[in-house]
Amino acid sequence: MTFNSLQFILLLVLVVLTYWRLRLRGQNRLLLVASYVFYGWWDWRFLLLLLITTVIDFMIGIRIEEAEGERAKRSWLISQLVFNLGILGFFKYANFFIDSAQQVATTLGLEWSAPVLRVILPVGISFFVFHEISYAVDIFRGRLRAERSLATYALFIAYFPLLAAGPIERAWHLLPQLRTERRRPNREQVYSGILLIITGIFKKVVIADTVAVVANEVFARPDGRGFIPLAVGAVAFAIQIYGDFSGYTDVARGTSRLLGIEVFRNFEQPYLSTSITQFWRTWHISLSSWLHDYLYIPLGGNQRGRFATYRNLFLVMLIGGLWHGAAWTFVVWGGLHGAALAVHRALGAYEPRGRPAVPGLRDVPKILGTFAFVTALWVFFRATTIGDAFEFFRNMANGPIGSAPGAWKADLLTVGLFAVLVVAMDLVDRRRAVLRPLHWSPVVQGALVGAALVGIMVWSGTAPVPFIYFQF
Amino acid sequence: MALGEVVGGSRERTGLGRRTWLGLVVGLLAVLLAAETTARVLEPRLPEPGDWFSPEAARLVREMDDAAATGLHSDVLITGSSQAGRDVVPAVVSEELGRDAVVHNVSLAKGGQALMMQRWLLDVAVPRLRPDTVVWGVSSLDFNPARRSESIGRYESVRATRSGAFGAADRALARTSALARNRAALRDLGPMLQVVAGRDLSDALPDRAPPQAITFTPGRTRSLTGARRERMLAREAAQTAQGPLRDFRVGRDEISAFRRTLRSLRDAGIRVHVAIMPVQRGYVDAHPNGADDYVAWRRAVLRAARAEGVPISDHTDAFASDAFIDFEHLGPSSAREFSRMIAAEIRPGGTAP
Repeated sequence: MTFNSLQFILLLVLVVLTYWRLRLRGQNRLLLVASYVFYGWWDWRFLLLLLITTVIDFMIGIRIEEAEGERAKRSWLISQLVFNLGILGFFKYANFFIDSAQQVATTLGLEWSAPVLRVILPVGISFFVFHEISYAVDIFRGRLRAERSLATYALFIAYFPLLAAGPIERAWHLLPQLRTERRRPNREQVYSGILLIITGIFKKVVIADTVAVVANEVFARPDGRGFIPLAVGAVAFAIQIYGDFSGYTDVARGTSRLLGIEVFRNFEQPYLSTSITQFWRTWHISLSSWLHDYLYIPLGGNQRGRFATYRNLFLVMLIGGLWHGAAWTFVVWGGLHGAALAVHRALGAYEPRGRPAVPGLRDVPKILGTFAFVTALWVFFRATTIGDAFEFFRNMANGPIGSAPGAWKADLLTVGLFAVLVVAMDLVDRRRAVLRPLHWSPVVQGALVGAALVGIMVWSGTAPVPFIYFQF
Repeated sequence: MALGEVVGGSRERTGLGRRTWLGLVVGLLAVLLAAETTARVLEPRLPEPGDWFSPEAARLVREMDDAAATGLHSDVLITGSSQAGRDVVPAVVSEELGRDAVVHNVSLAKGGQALMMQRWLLDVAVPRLRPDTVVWGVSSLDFNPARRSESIGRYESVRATRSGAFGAADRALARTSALARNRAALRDLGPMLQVVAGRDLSDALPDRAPPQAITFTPGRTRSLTGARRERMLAREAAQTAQGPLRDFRVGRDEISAFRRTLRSLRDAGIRVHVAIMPVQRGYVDAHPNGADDYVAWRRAVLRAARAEGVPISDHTDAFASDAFIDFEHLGPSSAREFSRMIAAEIRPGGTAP
């Protein structure tokens, strides 16, 4: 069941209308059942894994808190990390490592037939495992009390708006909300929640799925295409993944708001970034901040000298790349981003934390440069193999158009129009503190909602296209 | 930008009173009304809505409707995938049968899957053309469950043939709203701009034709030297193995659908004939387990057809490799010859086993 399916909309309406009439315990029970229905819709076997990890991590959380002394606490934490990373490693990376070992053996001329594991990757495993790890680490650090209600903890892990693709919430932010007395959102929350859902579906169905047609075609057949058609394809993918993932996040946030729950923002107009450092503070914020808190800081952050800082940046992004998928393309993608962050830091560039400023005209070259770099690296992310990515870049040398450019003019028109739309939406969002869209004339707001609904109506009607991040 | 973004926390007061709601509804309805009116104004010049499985299916339905409107019925209805579509020439079958036999070929490229043929034949083609005889050309790729998404999956995703409550709701919406009815045309930016500029595209079919699967022609392969020909064949083998025969196995649901369709046709008093389509040796070898897979499939299909009391002829090895334009499709002269063979099998007292 995906957010852009009619089944989800029916489930949501049913859950929300019932939820508003219940007290806290009933609300949590309803959400837990709905979450398991939502997850089991893909494959009921996934539920078993989710239940097992929930119960074990719940118990370990209590053990960490109750353990006497630092050493005992640490032992429990390590057992939790081994358990969770073991599960993630088995389901997500077992075949990747086996295949890689087989390739190394073949290269060395060794005769070895690697075993073949038939493992299904459970949807959202990378997300809920990160939820569980951050929960245990926060208890260990003394930032959080262990949850004593299994049902509440189970809901924290399985909470359906976030289960499949985040944002990666922290226990200190979400758990207290799940314990709050009867959550009854006010009119403003309901209204803004509905608007967020409509915006998210618009981004997914109208923007992402439309440019995806161009990206899929160009990445499937790059041969014979020249620089412009390939660049259009790469930009199409950059827009697709942004619309797809930020659309998903908007629906998750809007759904939560209907339930009286606030979850993290995951994007702050990343394509308006003036540097790679700013990009990573505005793209998939819940992941980059998770990596910062639970990987970069434990590695020493920037406190152990310049070289260690560069190394930590590189390592964190390399692992962040691998988190996305079990393939060398993701490792290269993450590694290149890590190297770029290290170089940017070495150049002495400083990026203040917090929401970036509204860009001016003089920032345009920096924005375009950052976007071009990020888009070029998306080629590694999107390609099936590293060889395919290099082939893509090699084909760019076929001249401006190439010998078999495909329908590049129509593609350029489509991608150009949607790029303008995305930039316009992000510029308004960057200035939201000044423009305050929710205070605009009701007629204008109604007209915007109407335009979004018309777009959704026109661009829907085909089988729902799964969200890209569901595969991670 | 997200429309619902709040600045001062999610409980920010925005003054949502009765007048505000009224304003919202007015703005919303104004845009919806304007969009619907625009769609209705443009509708006469827009391409036909992409309601069917493919442009080819839309054209066939249009032709079948025209035929049904004149009271014409079909003596022989040929169906299957692009193999039956290309290899069985209605005019040749008609000529061979004589008596001004009316022969229609309603095969669909990428649509020969048994699960989809069941729907296409029983819901669409047979009620419109009321045939006396149905000839169903089958091949192993039509029984590969790994291909469901491109056949029955797509068939189920388009408005005209989507089943269930959602399908019915979508068709009801399309009957009342020009926006919903023409959305496939409205979202195709290039043609839309032409229509806005005043061009009439009402005769155009939506979507581009599916890419041609043929990778070489008999003339070219004959003229190729050994090594280049081998390379061509290797490429074709890889494409076949990775495309229609990827993860091949004989689908249980496909066999069941095949049997149900044969039974339904016979129960409706229609003569049915199944033909296993001719293929090149390379096609058989392109199955994951080579000839073993193909033999297993052939055995399953023969058993199913015989269990339903339907005659079935096996043309797997009927043609030499130079009769084909690729692994599965015959060249024009071979197609005519194959059509004559089919006609000989189905004529009264014919050679059908």
